[in-house]
Amino acid sequence: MRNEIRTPLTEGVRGASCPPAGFQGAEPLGPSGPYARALAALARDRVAMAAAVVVAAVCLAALAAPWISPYDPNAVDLVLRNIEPGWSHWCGTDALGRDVLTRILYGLRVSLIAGILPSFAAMVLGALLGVTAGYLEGAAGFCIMRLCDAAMAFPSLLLAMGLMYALGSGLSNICIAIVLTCWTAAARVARAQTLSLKQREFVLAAKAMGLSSRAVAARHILPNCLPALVVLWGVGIPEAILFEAGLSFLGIGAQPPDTSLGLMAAEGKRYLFSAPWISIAPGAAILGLTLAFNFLGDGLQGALDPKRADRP
Amino acid sequence: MSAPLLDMTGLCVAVPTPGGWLTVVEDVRLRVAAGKVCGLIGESGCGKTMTALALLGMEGFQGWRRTGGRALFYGRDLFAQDAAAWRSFRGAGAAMIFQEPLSALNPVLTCGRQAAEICIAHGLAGKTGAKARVLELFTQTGLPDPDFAWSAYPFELSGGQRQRVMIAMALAGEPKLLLADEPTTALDVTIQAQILRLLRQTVDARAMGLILITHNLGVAAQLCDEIVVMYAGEVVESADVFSFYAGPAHPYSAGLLASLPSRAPERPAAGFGGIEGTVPAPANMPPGCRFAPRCPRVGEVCRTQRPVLTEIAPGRFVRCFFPLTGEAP
Repeated sequence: MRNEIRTPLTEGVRGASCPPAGFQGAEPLGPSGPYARALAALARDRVAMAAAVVVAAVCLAALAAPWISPYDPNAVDLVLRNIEPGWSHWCGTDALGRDVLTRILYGLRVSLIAGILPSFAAMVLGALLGVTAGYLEGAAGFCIMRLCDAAMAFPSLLLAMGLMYALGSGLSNICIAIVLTCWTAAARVARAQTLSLKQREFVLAAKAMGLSSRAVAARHILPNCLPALVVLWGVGIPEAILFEAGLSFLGIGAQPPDTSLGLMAAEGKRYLFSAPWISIAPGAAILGLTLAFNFLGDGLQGALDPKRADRP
Repeated sequence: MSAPLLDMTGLCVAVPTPGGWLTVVEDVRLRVAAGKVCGLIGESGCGKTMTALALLGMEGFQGWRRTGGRALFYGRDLFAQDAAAWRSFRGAGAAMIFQEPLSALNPVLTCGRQAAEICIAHGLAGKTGAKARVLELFTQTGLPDPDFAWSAYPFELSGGQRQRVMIAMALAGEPKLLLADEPTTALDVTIQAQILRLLRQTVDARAMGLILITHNLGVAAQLCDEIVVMYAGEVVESADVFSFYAGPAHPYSAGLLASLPSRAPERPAAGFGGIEGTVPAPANMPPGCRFAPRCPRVGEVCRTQRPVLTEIAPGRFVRCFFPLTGEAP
């Protein structure tokens, strides 16, 4: 039988991480299992939870846009041009009489896809290349890292423009441009982590127990890189959102009549003094979304580090 | 004496320096029989850990290299095998217990998973059977709550429990030889005694060989059957435990024993001596005997010629021109 002692002292700090003498092997009072623990730690982080609520609300709103908005995002009504924000149009209407809030909701879909998917793909690609480069060093590692240097030195806007020219505009091509721009950061972080992890004794121990190099890299080095990579992903999402918005603002991203927050901000540029809400509302949406993702990424960093996971 | 499980002779290890390869371990001879504990004794930096890592073929991972030697493991020449054979030898032939389990266990994986993957890597359990096997090993190594240890991260366990997990992991591949690198240095004395008892029981129950690397002469006396003393990268004396403690033959061994505080009536309480001087730097070894600059029995020949490891009595090897042979020095 296991002891289960709940006292005010052990309640707060989850007893198992610092068991009192004679209390060895007692069942942890909090949740067990690595993912449950990380989630529990995240749940205690109020800022991260607020950010998560914002992100979840934005995702839901973007998904449910056809049902929660009475307007068609592309319905042109020239009678209703540049209407100020009010009860019927919460964020006003734009120069073609389209409801700005509805268009923001549809634009958020593009932002979320362009933010989450390519930065995740970039993280996976960068992690694989970075761990390989750090683990192998030698010629293979050298080639990967020089490729990484070249990709970093190449202006990302130029790369995106070239890609759009070659492949045509469209959300999937924007995503490819983001992946090709963002993988370098993950690769460098993963390589640096691998180089330092390689010197750690548990890597030596794993090899001394007969694990193959691939097993050591995949099961001992990669999981230790994960917290840094997830944080990088968290930082990468807002970056990717801004990148997509920037491309669309410049006219090489989403093309009308598709919506995108960047495109909307560009469309409102001409009316900045007469109808500022056309640009400001999508700009504020970009700001709110990127901030929420930044705070969430920060919270994830704390939650995924097992040494910090149990601290309130 | 039974046939040795491991018979290693002439091991040499070199490390890279700006001035070229520098030999830091030279002519190490080690013989371990099944069910016996061989204590490898010496000061920090004398090459004990390097010897153990060389036995596991780890030179490719750390930049140093083995420049000579021959190790027969059940008659098979270890240093002639290829990389794949080395990999299955590590863990399944010989396994190592590290000094500080907190740094030798992966901080982001649960103890159970780390132990399970060794069972799986050596084909001793499938993905489903690994848990039962690991729990059995955890029980055998005396963890009070194997289920908790299975799902615990290393930092959630106490030092003694971590070392038990480490031992369970070392046993996971069913090795015939354990290399324990100062397994109790990071633990307090009561836990030390428990871990040492566990090691002895394990060796006896499984008829394994154990090479215990330590600089604690008391621990060695308690646990070992054979003692091998290393000094400055060389084996200076090799003897069975009783004759070693009864009368060390090498002046360095004698100095080590004399530097222990003793409560025996024939030695006055204040009378523990030290060994004059310090260990020579690997790059600046004396041309003759490496212990000559510090030796109380040094002669002219010691300063110019290198002594070799010679058998002065059955099973007893000394690297000295003037070994102590029972008479008072």
